[in-house]
Amino acid sequence: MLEEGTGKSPSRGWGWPLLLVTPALLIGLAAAFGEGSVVDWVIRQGFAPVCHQIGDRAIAVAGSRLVVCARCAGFYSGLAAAGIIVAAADGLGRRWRVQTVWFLLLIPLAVDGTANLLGVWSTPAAGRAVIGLLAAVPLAAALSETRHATI
Amino acid sequence: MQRSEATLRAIFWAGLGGGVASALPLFNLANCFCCLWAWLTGATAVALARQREPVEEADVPKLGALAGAYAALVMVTVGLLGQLMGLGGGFDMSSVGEFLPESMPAERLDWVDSVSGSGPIQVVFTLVGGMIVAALYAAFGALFMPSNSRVYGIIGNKGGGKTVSERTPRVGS
Repeated sequence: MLEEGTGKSPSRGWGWPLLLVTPALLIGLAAAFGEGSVVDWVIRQGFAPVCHQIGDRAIAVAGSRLVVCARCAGFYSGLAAAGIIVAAADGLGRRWRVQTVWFLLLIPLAVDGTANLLGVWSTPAAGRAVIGLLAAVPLAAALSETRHATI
Repeated sequence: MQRSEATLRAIFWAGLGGGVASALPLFNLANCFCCLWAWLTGATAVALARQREPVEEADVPKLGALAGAYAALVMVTVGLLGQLMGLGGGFDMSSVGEFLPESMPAERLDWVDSVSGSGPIQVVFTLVGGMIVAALYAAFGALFMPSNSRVYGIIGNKGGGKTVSERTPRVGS
């Protein structure tokens, strides 16, 4: 999964890993300040265009709900984890090779999201979070692979 | 990434379209489908740029990210203008009360009500929120195109899942 690099540096830098980690950091920052705080409020508005933010579908951490729904929380967590792996791989001079079969992990996201939207079934918060997390991994890994494409 | 006229035009038009669509009521519901407008903006920017010149595989996520960030800027601007003209859209500060816990102290609720109605404060918070949206749109704009290139290797080219760079011989190699 982590292959030897070619010895040449890709567009190595902290930009892409930082971009992948930023959403999770913002969610964590809002959770740290707690629901109802100014920080939570502002960050919640920031995520409003990309998440329905329905309270019943949000995970509660230390008594306060996260600013995004469980699926988004899992997705951004997956992005953050992938971003850390990308940075670690670059630091070790390796590249993270994504397997094409990993993209099948996007199917549960599409199916579950559509089914919940149409009211076919209601997935528990933990399930939504796991589905979101799994879908984020191949996307972030493909981004990492693209950074090495011209080597 | 080379900032040629073609790439700048692609970023401009893709970002403009994605931002306006994201700001319009009802249209913005498409973002429920995994932030559709965000990654469509990135995909559109790459497609537009490729119509005029080759785009390196490594530049695809950069192009998508820039287009996504620009779309977020357009979205925030359009939303803000809509709010100022009383047409709605943008960050609805008055709705923030729906997300606040019932156990919140009364004086805090009063403060929230007073701040949410203040124009300058609303603009400041909108700008800060806009920066967050820009980061999210940039991430989504960058994420999907590399995956699309990979999946295209299976569906379109029967290349066994190889990336475009692996299928296309490099000039001079």
